[in-house]
Amino acid sequence: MKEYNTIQRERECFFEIHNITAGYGKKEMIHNINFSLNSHTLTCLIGANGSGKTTLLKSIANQLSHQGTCSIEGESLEQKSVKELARDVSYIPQKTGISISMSVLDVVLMGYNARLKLLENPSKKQIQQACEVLSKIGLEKEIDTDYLNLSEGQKQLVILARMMIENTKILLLDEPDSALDVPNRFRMMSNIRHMVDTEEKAGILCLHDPMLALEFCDQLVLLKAGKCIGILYPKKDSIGVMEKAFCQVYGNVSLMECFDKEGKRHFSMIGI
Amino acid sequence: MEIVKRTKKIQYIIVIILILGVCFFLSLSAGKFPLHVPDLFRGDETALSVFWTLRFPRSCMAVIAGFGLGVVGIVYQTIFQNPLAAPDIIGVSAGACGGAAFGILFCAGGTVGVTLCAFAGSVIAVISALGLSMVVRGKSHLSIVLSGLAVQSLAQTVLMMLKLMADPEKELAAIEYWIMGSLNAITAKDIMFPIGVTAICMMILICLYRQIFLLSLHEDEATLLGVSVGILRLVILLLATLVVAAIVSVTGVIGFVGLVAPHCARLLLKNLCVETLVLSGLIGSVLLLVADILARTVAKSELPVSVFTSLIGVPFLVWLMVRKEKN
Amino acid sequence: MKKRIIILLLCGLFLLLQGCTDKIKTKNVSLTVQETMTIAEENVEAEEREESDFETSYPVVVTDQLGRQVIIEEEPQTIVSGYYISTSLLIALGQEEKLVGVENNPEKRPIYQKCAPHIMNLPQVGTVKELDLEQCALLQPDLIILPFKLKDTAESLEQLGINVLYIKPESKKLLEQATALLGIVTNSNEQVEKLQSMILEKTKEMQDLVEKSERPTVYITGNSNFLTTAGCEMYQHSLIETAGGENVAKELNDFSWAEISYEQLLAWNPEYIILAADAKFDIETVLKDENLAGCKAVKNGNVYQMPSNIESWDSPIPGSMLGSLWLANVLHSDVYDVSRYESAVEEFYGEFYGL
Repeated sequence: MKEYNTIQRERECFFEIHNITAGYGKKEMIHNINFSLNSHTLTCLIGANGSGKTTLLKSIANQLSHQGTCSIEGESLEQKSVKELARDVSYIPQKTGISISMSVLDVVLMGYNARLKLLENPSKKQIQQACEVLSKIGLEKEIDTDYLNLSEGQKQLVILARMMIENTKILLLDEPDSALDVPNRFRMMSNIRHMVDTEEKAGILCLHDPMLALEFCDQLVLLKAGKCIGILYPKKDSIGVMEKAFCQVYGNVSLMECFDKEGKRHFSMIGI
Repeated sequence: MEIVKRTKKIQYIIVIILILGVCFFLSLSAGKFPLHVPDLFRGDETALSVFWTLRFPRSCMAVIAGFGLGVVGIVYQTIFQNPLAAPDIIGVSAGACGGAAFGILFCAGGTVGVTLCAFAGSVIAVISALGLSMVVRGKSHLSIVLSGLAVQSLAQTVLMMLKLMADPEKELAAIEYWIMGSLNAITAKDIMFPIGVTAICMMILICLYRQIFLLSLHEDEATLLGVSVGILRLVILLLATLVVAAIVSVTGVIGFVGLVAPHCARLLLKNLCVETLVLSGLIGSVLLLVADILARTVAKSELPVSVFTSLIGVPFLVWLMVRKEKN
Repeated sequence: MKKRIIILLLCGLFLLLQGCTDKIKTKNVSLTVQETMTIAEENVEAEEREESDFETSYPVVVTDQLGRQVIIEEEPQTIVSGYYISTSLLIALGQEEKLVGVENNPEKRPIYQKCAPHIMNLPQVGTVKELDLEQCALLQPDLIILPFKLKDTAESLEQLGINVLYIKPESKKLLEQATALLGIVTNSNEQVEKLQSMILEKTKEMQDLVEKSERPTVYITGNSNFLTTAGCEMYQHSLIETAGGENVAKELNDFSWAEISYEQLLAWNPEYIILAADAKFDIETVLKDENLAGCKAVKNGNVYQMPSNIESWDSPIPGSMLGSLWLANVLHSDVYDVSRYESAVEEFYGEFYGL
């Protein structure tokens, strides 16, 4: 497990979270959180309920007043205007709030808002692009369907499509997997993984299922009682180190690794 | 596929416009004064005067007021994410009633004085509600609703006190009738102000339709999509309220149009898009026009128009809902 | 979704009922009073036939204008009048000294100032809409006279041991009956006779003179709004008809002031417009109103206001017969001279109000 050390940075980070302290009212939820990301990576925040994951995500998204800064390629997020921030960061909160009947296409087209002027409407080219994205994820038949009539899995995919349209450097997702069934979870994570692999992006997620984190993420930030107690790198760290770290967060757990037919390593965890 | 849907939406709009046209013509022909088309062409002075200063403005007012209330209704329901939101929700109508009561009691300027007081009353009420929500808790739309409730209660208390001060033989009846809403006193010079305000604000609101739909999302989500939620919501609510204030200050409180028309539009077009906004406005126009025709022809004296907006609106809405369930 | 539909339906029904009941409420109240009125009329007539001599012998059983039977044990020495009409009646019947309480805002009525100034200092018991029960309890009058709209207070007053009579002088006939009723109760039947006979005499005099003239069309306004008028069921209608005019709004049968539109007024095209005595708008405003430019009355300048310097004659008070006389002079000045009207005013107020 690598302890975060400011001196060890060699070059300017793609995305850096520096000394974030935040809370609600007088109650401080997170204290002095530090970590950084490179592009093409996914980071997952790991912690028990109430450890401050959502608070941290909200602070990074600049939706919660906080001390400390987040900067992307040297530019501080806190200094950006609403539109500038929207062009750099996209954020999917735990409960997305589409409460009125809108067509799937209209939902996806919302992603263009940060790049359009107030009275401007998406161009034909942009609409076509949106349709292409929807067919890429397999929803081309649902373009005109009412979003509210879709299954949970399909809804999540539409929101993801919107995120693709937003085309931001930083992706923030708060428990995007919580309402999905197992196959859909994998599908969604594959899509997110594909997004950051193929483009100059980085993602920070809170995942409900730590196994998904171990499977898909490059970096796991462990939070306990609002403090960062360590950072794990599933591709490099030994299983013993990881199990010890997980025990600190979840209590007594046992971590096992297994190998599939192609020899790739996977993990599974059970509580004791 | 999308092209077909679009055509159907345009079809609905064209049909409603045709219905509106027919109703407008009916409205021009209905009334207590015996107007005959030959008289108008002959140049009969009284007939022309009645037509241009009374009947035509009254019909226009019904169309514009109905359109304004319909669009504002759907804007409110979208922004507050509440299908039962009506333009009253932040105290417009209550403020207007209080203002009108004040005008009836203390202003000697006749209807002009009452109109100005009613408008001032509703604007004060809404600015208080929006201002209070900003002081109390910033961005959440729930805080606006709560502030609106507070201001509404205050305005109704003021209204109660004014009613107590009113002479039961004279002013009290006038206040009650004003509150019920009617287009009976509309003349040519009365409509300039509400039509002007409504036209300008409607244009802006319809152009901002994309932002209005974005405001229906949770705040965090909307902000990270590039929407300055606080400011935009304030501006849109203010515009919407100006429309309602301008209309209500001249006609009194007309209920139900802002509640029924949006639901009808949504049941017909299913998805929320700019066509839904426009259709909601058009349905509002038809509803108010027909209600006004009935209000001035059914009985020998003028009845309050709100009676008919509910009598027509409710069955129509029920029919649409039943039809939707069947499908 | 189903929940939403049910909620919407319920709200819709609720709003529907709200919209209708407001208008229906007034009609319903009027309808039930209409029924009780006919009973009251018959009963009071019966009473009149029985009490043919001038002195009332106590105890006496009377029926008020809500059809209630009330027993008056002895001649009331202290009276409270919660209605400006009964106050005026009591003064006309010479009972003003017995008044211990009056309706709110007596300073608004010039007549009190002129002929019974002590009334201004009396305790005030309420308005047409609301009665101050505690004040009544404090005064403990022998009799209290109230407008019929306060009928819900009957039980409470009876529990306080106060006799209460309700009057509803909504038409000429009912005003006569109210007068007779108060006469019996206060043992001032002689005054009643004099009052009724003078009213009859002056009215007949006027009607004989205007009989042969044509009846011009008249529009009478309400107090607060120019576009409200009185239909055939209202007192003001009989005022116009008595004066030899024709009420343009006679086809309306609302029991209270009816709302109309400019179009309606122009369709009626009255020859005369009469503003209510206490109207908030004045003759100038009406004459300058562009929307009325086509109206006969405005074109010829025949817009007048009912006088109110002594009393407001467009309401059902005993002096309102002078309102008819004034109107007759306005409509038929060729046959009914202003001097006749003026002398009638002098005689009436001289005899009954001591002016």
